[in-house]
Amino acid sequence: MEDTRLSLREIAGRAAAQAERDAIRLALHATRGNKSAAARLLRTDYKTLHLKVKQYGILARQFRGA
Amino acid sequence: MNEARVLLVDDDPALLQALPEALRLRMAALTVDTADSAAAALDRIADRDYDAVVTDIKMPGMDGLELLAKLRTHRPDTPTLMITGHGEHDLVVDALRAGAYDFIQKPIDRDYFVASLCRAIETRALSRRCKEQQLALERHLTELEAIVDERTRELRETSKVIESPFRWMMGPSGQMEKVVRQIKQVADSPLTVLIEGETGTGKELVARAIHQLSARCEKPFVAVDCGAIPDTLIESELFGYEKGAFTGAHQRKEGQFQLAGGGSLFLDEIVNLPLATQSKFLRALQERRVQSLGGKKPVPVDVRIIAASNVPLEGEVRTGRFRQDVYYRVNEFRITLPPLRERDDILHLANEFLPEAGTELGRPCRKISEAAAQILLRYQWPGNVRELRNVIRRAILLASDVIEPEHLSVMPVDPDPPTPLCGGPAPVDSSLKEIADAAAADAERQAIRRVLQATKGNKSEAARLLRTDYKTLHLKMKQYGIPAGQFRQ
Repeated sequence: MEDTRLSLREIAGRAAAQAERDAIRLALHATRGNKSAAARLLRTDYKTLHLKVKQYGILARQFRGA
Repeated sequence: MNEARVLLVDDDPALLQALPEALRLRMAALTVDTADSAAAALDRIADRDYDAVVTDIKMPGMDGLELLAKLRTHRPDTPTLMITGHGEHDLVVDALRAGAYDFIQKPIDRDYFVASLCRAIETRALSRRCKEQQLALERHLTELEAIVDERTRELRETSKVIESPFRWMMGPSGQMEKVVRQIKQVADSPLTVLIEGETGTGKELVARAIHQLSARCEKPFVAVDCGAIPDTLIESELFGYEKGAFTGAHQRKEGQFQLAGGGSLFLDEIVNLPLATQSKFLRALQERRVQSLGGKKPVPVDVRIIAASNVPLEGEVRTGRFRQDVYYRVNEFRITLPPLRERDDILHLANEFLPEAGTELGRPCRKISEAAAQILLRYQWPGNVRELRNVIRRAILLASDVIEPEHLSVMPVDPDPPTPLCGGPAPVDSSLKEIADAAAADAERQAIRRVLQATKGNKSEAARLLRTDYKTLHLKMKQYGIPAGQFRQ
């Protein structure tokens, strides 16, 4: 779990990042790596999703094909 | 000589009176019991284990030889001295053959008698000590045997634990037998292992099995999903940081390398390691040392690295996303897990999961119809064994008796994620922002409760620990409905 020594803001930030990352991976999985479709599913815009994918080091490619 | 106790047997009351006196004078710490017949002697012997017995041969009723024979049977360790009359050579020979320790001729030479008795008592003490040591040895042996038994049982339990994940992953498929063989081969070597296989093929199970079968099994197994940690945090996560290494590093933190000390470090989705971290990781692999952020010098670590990737790392090297030198280091021994669609034991696995899930979900075990089996065989299984397991679990909840095609959520047209990757709720109805906000709120609520518990409801102290201000904390507590009162004693 989170370190108690983190500030409340950091704790919230980390949890949010983790949840976002998981959600994006799930959405990419569901859409077979299609970022536009994943963005729609997550009701966000393509640019935001693209940025977050990069930020979290997610490889959209790996969800393609199967 | 320590305290000794002897039994004197004779039908002559004068001798029974005189001899003990004489013996006590010459031998300190000697207790002499007397018996005036062999029968009386046997009673006493039954009660007590004498250090020596001295008996006249010629006695009315049971004679000394008969008594000797009984003694040899009941108390084989008790030396017996025979008192004989002058010239009774035949009796002496009989007695010695029957196992008498020595013979004393009448009239008794007291010095000789005492010397012989002393020797007899010493012999007895010696044999007693021998016997005690033997008993101790035997006891020890029994204990050792018990320990061996115990260990064997433990080992059997452990191997059961190890074999069970194997069972999870394998049916009667040749490909998986090879994998199990490879696991057993590499487990006890110091080699770095690369496990390649699509998502859901059981990479972490393989890594755990390797750890369990290695000499490191008592030490930690630390798993890090490199894809789950933002690039900016991965270095501090892996290598740790010193207090003050960067803004917010208020306290020293150990990295996963240090936490896995002596054990195994499992790096899942290693392809997600940023290039900058890869070079640091390479140094750790080569030099077996890690330097924490802000650390003055590298510290030695003893860690066995097991890496996993769901894409072939070689391809990532070719496209320049993964460093070749790191790849070579990691790829000392490679285990490739076949995707489920290429395996010939899909139905076997499905039938394995059926009773398991049935028990767990409290629904009686059912069977899979022929039509459903055909679908399972034709499906592509992007989520592999994990997906198959989840599909079976869902089907068990839906089916009333036999699993039919309509219970299987695997239609190739099905756009749903076949298997949640991280076990969290599927992102069906929530937007990314809602998901993040909910997670943040959840974490905040938990953190606040935890800290209030620690400070026994002291809000100022809690705010300080969470490095926020009192007002914010107060507002959040109100927002989340956390009453400070419940944490006070």
